[in-house]
Amino acid sequence: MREPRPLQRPADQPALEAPAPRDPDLADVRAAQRDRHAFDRLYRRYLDRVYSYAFYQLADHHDAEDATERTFLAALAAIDGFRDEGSTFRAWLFRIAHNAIANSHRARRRRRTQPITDARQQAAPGADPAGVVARADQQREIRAALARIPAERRQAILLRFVDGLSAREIGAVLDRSEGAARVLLHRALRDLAGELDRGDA
Amino acid sequence: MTRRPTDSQRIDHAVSAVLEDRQVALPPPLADELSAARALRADLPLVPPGDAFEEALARRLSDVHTHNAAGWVSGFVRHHQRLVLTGALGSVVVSTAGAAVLAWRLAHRP
Repeated sequence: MREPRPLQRPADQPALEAPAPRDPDLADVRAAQRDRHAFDRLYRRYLDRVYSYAFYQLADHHDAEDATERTFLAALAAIDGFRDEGSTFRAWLFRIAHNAIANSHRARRRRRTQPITDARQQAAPGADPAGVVARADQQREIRAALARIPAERRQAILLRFVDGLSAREIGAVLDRSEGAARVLLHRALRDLAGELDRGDA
Repeated sequence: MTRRPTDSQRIDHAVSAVLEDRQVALPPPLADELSAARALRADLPLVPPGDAFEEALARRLSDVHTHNAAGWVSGFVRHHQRLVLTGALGSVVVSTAGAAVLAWRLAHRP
């Protein structure tokens, strides 16, 4: 699902600033600007990632569906306004998703509803039941640890690990520089490691 | 002279390696963050929405486009109705005159 990004150096000798990445979606964005039916390709490509980003933050399938729908409708309406100027389509799309999710949080505070638990992740047929339970426990532990770290750090982790965005793209989504996004991700991982340790203890 | 990468840069590149399932190691102050990254890679999967939702939203996006196109045409006609009416009347007058001239020429052919 994730597109590999080739690195020029070994992991322990990183470049100080990476060059601006070429947007892999640009041809499809241009096609969608000429003919809106071509937007379907972008929709199918990013549906799971946008939905996962919303689900992990809202912890409710209905709210996640609502935020996902508003994200894609807004993206389709604004696609003509997208310009390839230093950022990528997916950073632009996740910026829209980020705003849709923030609106859902505000609406939820007004409604004061309780999120329901995830009932959709089901085991594959024939899977070892003990392994499935252990895996589900690990996933629950990770999600509980994520829920305890500050919201912006959690968003950085989700954008990096679930959606595969680079530090530069995360910066564009969260309105920060590439360096600040990297620091945010580092702190998020440090917080998460602490929370996981606490859970083990 | 090259600057040493910061811890955040080293972590970011290690995360890239983890996401690409490549082997990577970092010394103790950063090893905990790397373990957390591996746990995330293993236990934070994509959560796809249901097929019914996917197809319903695809239809909605397609309908928005169709309605937009129809709306553009009706909006153009409404907004420029005088222009459209003048054009239509003008084209009727010109064709009628053309047909009349043609009929007259045919009737008076030597």
